[in-house]
Amino acid sequence: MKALVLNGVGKDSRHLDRIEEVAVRELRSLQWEVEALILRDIEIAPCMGCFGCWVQTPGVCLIDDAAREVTRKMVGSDLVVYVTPITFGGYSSELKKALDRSIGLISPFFTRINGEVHHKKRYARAPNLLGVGIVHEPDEESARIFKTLIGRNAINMHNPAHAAWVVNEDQSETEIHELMHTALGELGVRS
Amino acid sequence: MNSEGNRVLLLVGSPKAPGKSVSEALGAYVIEKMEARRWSSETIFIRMSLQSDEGRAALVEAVKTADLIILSFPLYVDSLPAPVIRAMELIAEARFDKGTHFVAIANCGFPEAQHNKVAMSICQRFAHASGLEWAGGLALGMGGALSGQRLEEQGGMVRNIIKALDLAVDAFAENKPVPDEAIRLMAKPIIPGWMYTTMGNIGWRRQANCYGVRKKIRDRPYQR
Repeated sequence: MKALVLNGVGKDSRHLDRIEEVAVRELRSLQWEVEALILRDIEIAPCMGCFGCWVQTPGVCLIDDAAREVTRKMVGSDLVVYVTPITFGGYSSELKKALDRSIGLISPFFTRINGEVHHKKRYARAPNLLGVGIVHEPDEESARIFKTLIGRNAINMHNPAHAAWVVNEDQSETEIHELMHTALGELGVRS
Repeated sequence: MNSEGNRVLLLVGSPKAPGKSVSEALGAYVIEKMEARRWSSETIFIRMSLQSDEGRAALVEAVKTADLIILSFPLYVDSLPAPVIRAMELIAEARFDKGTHFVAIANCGFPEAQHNKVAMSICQRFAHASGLEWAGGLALGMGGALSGQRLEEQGGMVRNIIKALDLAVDAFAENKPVPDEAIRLMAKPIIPGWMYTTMGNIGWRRQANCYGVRKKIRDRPYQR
């Protein structure tokens, strides 16, 4: 089983990398093949909203940079983990720059899911999604928004299972390990 | 109010070039109406402003000196576009405590305006974190039916949008938040939902045809 960990921690918050590192260790201990990408070290241009990845070069972004490879790796994974400082309830700009460029993973055509319009799948199968949000101090509202966002992304990107957990940046490694273990259990992908 | 009178700042969150985005068209309508009420204005295109240190500094300075800030953006993957989040991070670092009103206008390509809900919550948290005063948000669905043209040139389809923005402008001029009626009107479908999705699906095929890839539109280039 392959997992792709997208680390959206910014350059001024490198101390938060340890949370990604615990996640990677936990997955590896469960015999997962894990690749972690530190997005702040990867040059990714912003999505230009051109829809070229839908109507010009279907499934591939027109901008030829590292985002194409990130997207390819997402398709090739069984689990994608977003690690991000919770930023006003959502993702950091470092994580979001990669996600904005990944819409070629879905089809432009509309379909209806639970009474709401979304886009159809492009690929027969999508990875499961785990969101790991980091907060400086407990913040229920931000945690609620973050969990809702992960759930909405999972609908739009057709992730078959998803989970989201929020960790305080000063939590111990043991606590983070336990949270990760629980989250993977929720996803049904513990091994 | 600053010494030169009230000042409104429009932050355009679409990465598209000036004159090309729905976000700009929606925001520009508000700006024009505020200018008619003798407010001075400034418009900043966020993606471009982030390309240099000067641009980033000018963005933060513009926020600092505004009396009303309007962020108009397209919904990207259930949230705000990455450059907009980056701008928010910069503004929040500077943190202002003068209670400047902050308003968000979101547009999405889905028929239902409710898709913008998470993004609106993020805008509200941003305002709180930055010392700005959240004055409400207007969320629009069916953005794919609109263009970057001036709203007044987009026909009867936009009548409820214009009504909503007019109500909002009246409120802003009196330093009040976005009225509920404006929110309701903005969220109303501009055409029937079935028509939007049918036309949308035809439109994708037509565009793919123009690029000679109609038969490839369902390709899976990264299939393992």
